[in-house]
Amino acid sequence: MHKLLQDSPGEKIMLLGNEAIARGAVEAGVAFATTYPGTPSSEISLNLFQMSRETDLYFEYSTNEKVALEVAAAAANSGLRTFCMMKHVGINVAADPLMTLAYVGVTAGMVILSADDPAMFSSQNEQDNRYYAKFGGLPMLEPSSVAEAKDMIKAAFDLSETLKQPVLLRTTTRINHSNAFVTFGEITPRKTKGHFVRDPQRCVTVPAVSRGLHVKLLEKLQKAGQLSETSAFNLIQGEGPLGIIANGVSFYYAADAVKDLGLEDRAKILRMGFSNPMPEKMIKDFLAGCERVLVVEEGEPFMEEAVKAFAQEVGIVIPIKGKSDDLFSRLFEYDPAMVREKMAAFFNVAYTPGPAVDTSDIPEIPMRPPNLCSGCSHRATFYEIKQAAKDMDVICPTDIGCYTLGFLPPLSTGDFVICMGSSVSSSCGFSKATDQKVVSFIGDSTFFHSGITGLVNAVFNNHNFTLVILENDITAMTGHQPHPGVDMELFGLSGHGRINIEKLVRALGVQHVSVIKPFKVQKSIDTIKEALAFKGVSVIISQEPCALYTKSLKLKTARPFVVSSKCVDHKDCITTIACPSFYLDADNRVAIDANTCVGCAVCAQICPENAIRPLKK
Amino acid sequence: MKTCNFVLSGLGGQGILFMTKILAQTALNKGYNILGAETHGMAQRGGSVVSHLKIGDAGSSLIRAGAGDFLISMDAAEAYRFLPWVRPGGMVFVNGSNDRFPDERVTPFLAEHHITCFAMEAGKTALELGAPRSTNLAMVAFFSAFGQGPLEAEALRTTVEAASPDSVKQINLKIFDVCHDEGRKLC
Repeated sequence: MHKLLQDSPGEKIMLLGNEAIARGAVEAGVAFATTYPGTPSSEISLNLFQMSRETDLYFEYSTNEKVALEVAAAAANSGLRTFCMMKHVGINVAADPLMTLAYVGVTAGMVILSADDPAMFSSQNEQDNRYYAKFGGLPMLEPSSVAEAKDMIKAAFDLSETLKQPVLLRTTTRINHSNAFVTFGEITPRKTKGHFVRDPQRCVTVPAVSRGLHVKLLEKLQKAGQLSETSAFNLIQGEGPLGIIANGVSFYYAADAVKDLGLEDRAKILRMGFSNPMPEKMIKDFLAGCERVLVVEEGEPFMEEAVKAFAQEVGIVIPIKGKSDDLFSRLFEYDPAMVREKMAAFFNVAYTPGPAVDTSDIPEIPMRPPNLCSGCSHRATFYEIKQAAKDMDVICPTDIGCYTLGFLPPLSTGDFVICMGSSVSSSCGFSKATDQKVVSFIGDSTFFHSGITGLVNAVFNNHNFTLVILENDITAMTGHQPHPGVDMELFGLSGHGRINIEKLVRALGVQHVSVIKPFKVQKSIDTIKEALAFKGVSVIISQEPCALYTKSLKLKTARPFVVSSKCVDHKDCITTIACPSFYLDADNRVAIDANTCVGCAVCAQICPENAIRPLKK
Repeated sequence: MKTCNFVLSGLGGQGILFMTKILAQTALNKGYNILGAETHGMAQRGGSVVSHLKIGDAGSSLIRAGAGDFLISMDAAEAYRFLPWVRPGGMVFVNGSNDRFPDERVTPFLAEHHITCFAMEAGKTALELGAPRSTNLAMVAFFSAFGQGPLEAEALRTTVEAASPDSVKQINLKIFDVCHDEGRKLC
């Protein structure tokens, strides 16, 4: 049995934040869950996917976040408790249904989870999605710890049903990827079959209906505001004239700092856990007893600006500060030491930081960024494209996935990335705006997510570029989730359809379509040259399963390679493809780590001396 | 109990998270509270990975620079990178050669902060015993030999036994014992 399905209330177990959230959803009786995977949310859906295989919980990996939210919206309007989760930028993709679903509402509990990523551990931006709650008029909850995240999701479902409104649960990476002990609660039985009751005056958003719905949305928000005033998630800790307002993980940083600075008798903290709508009266009362107030929140001054506005309304003129040059930044994530230092400065408390770690006598350690894996087929494809296009002035728009790492030297292939699917559409723009050759890259999962519409645009508007679809049969970067082109039998599941990318591309009317097997180096280069010479839209599909996934399924037996005595030590292999299995031995000569080499043989094909050979068993 | 802070570092794919789990589960078995923070996502593709684990009652999971009691690193370069997280008087355990670690360029820093370092070629040992992927628990075993912190060797070994799948249980315990004994020699 899946560890999160155990019906053992009171049991204490160590869980990752995302596991705790998945468990919370199960305890809340969630019956229907949809997602598109994205860090830092991925383990929530992974656990729900696993649990759905053992229970009648419905779970699906949807094609993208917009689709996931629309699928979920229907379930939540058919009377099922529904959970839709995604990373913060996923909400941008889902923003269109989100804004209007806020008008329509739901008939059963619906929670939409936004996993924000301050400091961008694994994201292209660090947008603060609390504004989506304000923007759309959705109630929002924000946990401060792993254990609270589990309990909060249950409360979020109840809140959603009280208001008949989807609730936004906003986490940050430090919650999603922290470990802590969590106590299991009761599991609410799931209701897995619903019934849709027609209600066109609520569900068909033509202008005449929507005008009425906006009025209702504001009424719901007002009711939500009253609930926020009395919510246990908005709490005040301590007392005294020094005020602190904090949310999320910053709350514990602030609480630790109060203790460390000896301010327990002089400071009180208002922790905002139900943060849209904010508890206006509670905040005004809190401010009335303060000499000065510090707002501690990662990201944008979301609470700070609201608190200042509340203060203005009641004529309170005390210093209220958060983001400023000498206090908190809008950049990146916070840490306990930084919060303590800023708090000491703002409250004018004598504070001697522990002996600062002076690292000036330690040599700087070079950055070690992530890299394409040993035997990654993307490396071969990038090398082959570079060879085929070596005399051309090429722009390489790329996309979101492992292959974004191709921009790193020595492959250095990747010139423009803004969001999922942008490789294809931006190629349209580059090919019209310049005379440069455009070769763009997109993974199979990303192509399904949002690359198809760009390709339709390219064919319709007769653009001129080559799109390389990297078909590795899995959503690799986020931890090997399926996508519509995957053989679900490999997951032991039957009854799924499977979309063939080549047929799809041909059906869209692309005139020049070719398929390469990237581990056949010369043949691939020859095929790529033909595609590059075509005027119009050409698509190259590079087919090779993800090496890491293949390894985990033990689908192939690795046959490692070795460097023979024919090596003349020019190190071309390292300087052109830089597979992480290469290392320099004690004599400073290239060697191959037999434990990590998967035997793709790409290096053997590019070595001019034929010095790289399979290891004899 | 004063919080005991572990900083665990290495490269994506080396099992830093499993190492964290062994320490955290052992703490739970002994009735301690824990809080941990990890890096995921892109970092799994061979990049630098760090995990913070606090044993004891703490509010926030992040360990600040200069506050780590122990740094256990799967890789020498990743040990150097996280040295600033070790508190004065703290200890460093690294998967590497005693002849080469620590590099002379950091010895003044270590001496000034009274930080002691112990290296063992845990990866090599795990490989020789047939399970190179168990280098992470080899490092836990090496650490356990020094009797430092609230988690005893026997308790850690019990967790390793419980957490290992049957197919590698015996080999993991063998690796644990060999690496523990290697550590004892340095005590």
